[in-house]
Amino acid sequence: MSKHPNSANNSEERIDTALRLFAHAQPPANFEQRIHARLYREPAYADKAFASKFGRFLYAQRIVFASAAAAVACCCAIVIGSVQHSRQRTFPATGVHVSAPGSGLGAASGARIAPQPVAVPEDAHSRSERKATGGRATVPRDTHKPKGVAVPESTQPQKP
Amino acid sequence: MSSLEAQVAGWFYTQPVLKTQEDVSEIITALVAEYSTTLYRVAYSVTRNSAEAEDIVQETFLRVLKHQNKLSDIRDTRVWLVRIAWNLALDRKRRSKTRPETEDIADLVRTLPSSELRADDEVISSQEHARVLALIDQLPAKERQALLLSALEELSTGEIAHICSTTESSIRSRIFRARRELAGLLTKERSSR
Repeated sequence: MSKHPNSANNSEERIDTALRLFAHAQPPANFEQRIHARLYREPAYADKAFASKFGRFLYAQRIVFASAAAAVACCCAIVIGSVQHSRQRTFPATGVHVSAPGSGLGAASGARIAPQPVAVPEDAHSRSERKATGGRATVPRDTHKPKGVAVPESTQPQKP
Repeated sequence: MSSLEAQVAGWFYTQPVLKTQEDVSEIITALVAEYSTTLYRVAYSVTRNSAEAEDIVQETFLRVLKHQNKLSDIRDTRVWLVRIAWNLALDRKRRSKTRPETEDIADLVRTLPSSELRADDEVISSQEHARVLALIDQLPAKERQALLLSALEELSTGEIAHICSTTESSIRSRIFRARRELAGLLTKERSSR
């Protein structure tokens, strides 16, 4: 195929020489700086930088933020509980004063509606029951008394 | 640790920030310093245009920035970057087929320091280089890729095999076939002159 004895070697050398061009290709001056400049110009890079800084700030101050959030939650709970409690305490109206509209009279002549009496439930009982009879404290005679303590004799109540 | 303590620890545990922006910037700066020249050579071997090769390298690092979350999963960064650059260069070459060729081979031959080329290399004119490279473009895609990547001293046969998603023996046979075919084309060209 090749007429020249060294043509095969010559071809190999030509191939190697051509390929060596790529192996020794040098990028232009300030190549890396231009790459960095292009990367920093990228909006995604700037956005991520801001997001990362914000995220890092949140992470560094996480205990402060958690404490503040807990304090705010406690305050909210106190305020809401207080408001709920005050709404539940409905005082009975001692006397509803209804003015007579259109009569030309003031509050003094308004109708006064007496409060409704509170109905006592059937099974209601007082908080404490007095056990003593007759309204007097009695000391049984066989009660052990220390020596030297004078106990007056109980007298029978006088009958009218 | 009691269950309550574990529960409390779970409430207050926050995921640590894996990579801050400074970390990513440092990683990318290191990648640029280490691989930019290799990537430039890869891109240049396809486009043969300095400006386009530089643009491709920049585009490659933009891709890295875009996929920075995957950086920790990448086993071989060099292979990954070269593959990105190669694909970008092929896309660019495909698109530029409609435009007139703007090859900088003559410029490259002129700018290469004399110590990097042997004396007989200097004798060969830039037109002859361009002719050989034009014949390389006529090779089948797989053989051409293997041949061009094998020209880069930074890449081993194993790495080229990873880039091409094949085996080392397959790469060796592709390089052998490419060189044989290229030698045949060169001989045919010489005999026709």
